[in-house]
Amino acid sequence: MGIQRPPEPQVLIVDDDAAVRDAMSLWLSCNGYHCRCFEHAEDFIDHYSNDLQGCIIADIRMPGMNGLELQSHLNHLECVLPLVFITGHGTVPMAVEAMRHGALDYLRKPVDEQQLLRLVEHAFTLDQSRVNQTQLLTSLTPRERQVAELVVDGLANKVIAANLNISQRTVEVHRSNVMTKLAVNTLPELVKTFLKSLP
Amino acid sequence: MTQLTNTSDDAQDGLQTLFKNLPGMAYRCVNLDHWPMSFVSEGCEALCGYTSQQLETQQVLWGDFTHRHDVAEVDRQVKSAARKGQPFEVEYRIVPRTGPHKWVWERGRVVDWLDDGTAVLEGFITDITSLRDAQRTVSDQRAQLAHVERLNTLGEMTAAIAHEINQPLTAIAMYSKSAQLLAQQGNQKQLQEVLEKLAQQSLRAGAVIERMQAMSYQSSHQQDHIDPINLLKEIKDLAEIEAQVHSYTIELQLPHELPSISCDPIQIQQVILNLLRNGMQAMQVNLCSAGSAIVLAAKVVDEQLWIHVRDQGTGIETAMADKLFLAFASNKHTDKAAGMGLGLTIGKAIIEAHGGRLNYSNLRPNGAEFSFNLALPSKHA
Repeated sequence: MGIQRPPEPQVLIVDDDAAVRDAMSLWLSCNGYHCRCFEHAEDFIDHYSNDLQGCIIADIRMPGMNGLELQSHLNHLECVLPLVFITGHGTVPMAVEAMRHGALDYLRKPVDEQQLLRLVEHAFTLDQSRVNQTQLLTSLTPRERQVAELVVDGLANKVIAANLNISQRTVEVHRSNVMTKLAVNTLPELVKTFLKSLP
Repeated sequence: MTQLTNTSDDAQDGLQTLFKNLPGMAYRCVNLDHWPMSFVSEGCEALCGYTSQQLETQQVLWGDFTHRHDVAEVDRQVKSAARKGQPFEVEYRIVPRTGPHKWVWERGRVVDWLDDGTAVLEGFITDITSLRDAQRTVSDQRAQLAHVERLNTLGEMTAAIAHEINQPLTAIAMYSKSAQLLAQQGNQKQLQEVLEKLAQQSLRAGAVIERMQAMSYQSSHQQDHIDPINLLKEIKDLAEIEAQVHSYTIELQLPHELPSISCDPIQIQQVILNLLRNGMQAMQVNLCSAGSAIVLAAKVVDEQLWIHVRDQGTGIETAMADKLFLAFASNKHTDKAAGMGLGLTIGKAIIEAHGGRLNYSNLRPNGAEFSFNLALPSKHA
């Protein structure tokens, strides 16, 4: 508490088995990832905050709160971190259920270490682009953001100008700035990027 | 009253007819080495292939064809009974003049004492080979059935066992790949630590396999000097694999010490495993929360070792009570939990073959208790 969290992305490992936690975090650390381990889903929830970056790897079968319950808890907290489940024999149906609720993927035990690396890498890329886009959005001025929202809503420049009580020419300048800052060229690209960047 | 008019000769004839028709042989002998016979009834020829005359003239001695592995024990029991003036009953093998060995049952007692203090014995010996064979067949079949049921139990536990083995395997895969990287980096210190952890995890996987291995053995047999505490701890470890699936705990309630017992340890563990698994399934049906405990307890009452399994399940419905121990009567409704329905039937057979009884009672407010007893070896044995 009171300690500033390092801004770098981390692999957040939630597994009740000490050896699995230790080995997994060692392997990922050796491959350059920062890891944090939690023994119980409850511990993780206690430490969770929306500014965490990276991804979550959680065992589906845990005493106390299990993986699925953790997921529904995180969904309530509007957690957007990619979530990867580890499943053992007999918990595959649970993993499928988890995928339906937005999990990125699941790994079967015994976990293939290369597959784990690929998945973590993929999850990090996804999370990074989310973070980047959020940052892009925050680079817009309040007025630019207003204009962008209305463009995405499908309004013509003339209508936007009337709505905001500014000249059509000014709308065009804001709109062009938005396109440059978000690094897009066409309207569909703008819509896509803007919607993706919304938290 | 009928008058007794038989002459002595008539009585002798009657006795001869009686002896002739006996399914075995009556004898009179002195309790000396090899039991020299002074009288043997006609049945002896059918029993051992020698005539009564050969035995009575002591051309052959009974002890000559008593099985050499059994002769000392027979001698011990006869002498012990003779000292106490009690009749004795022994079962042992004899090697007849021709053919394979036979099992015989003998009952006799001391009828007189010679001047030198040697006992004179009279008794009766009969062939129980076919009874022994039948008992043997029943016992073999029970053992085979028990083995099949053990394999079936292990089959049902596959998911839990796989989970338990996959944990260390997962760790091993990660540790070994990390070790490669550390070796490349020349990080000796951390490499040593990781190699040590690797070894621990392989031992952990091995221990899981060891726990289930005994259950898969085909041969099991009666053994003396079995420590019940050890036996209970071993089977608790195996059942724990499944308890973890439900996040239940198994609570052992044991005194510090228990006297050793004679039993077939694998079969007794099988019965306990079955009771624990049934109990945990009943607790699941009863929606017992994670962390709930099932109790495995043992204590000595009246020269008997009592073993209890207490669950917090649904208890035994009255409708089920009558057929609880019948084959194929399963109380488990879901497909997943439905076993062969043989667990309790075999459990009951195993306990009864050990001379005990398997009982149950419902607990308040919920749950059931299954109990069985095993006799402690008598102190003078």
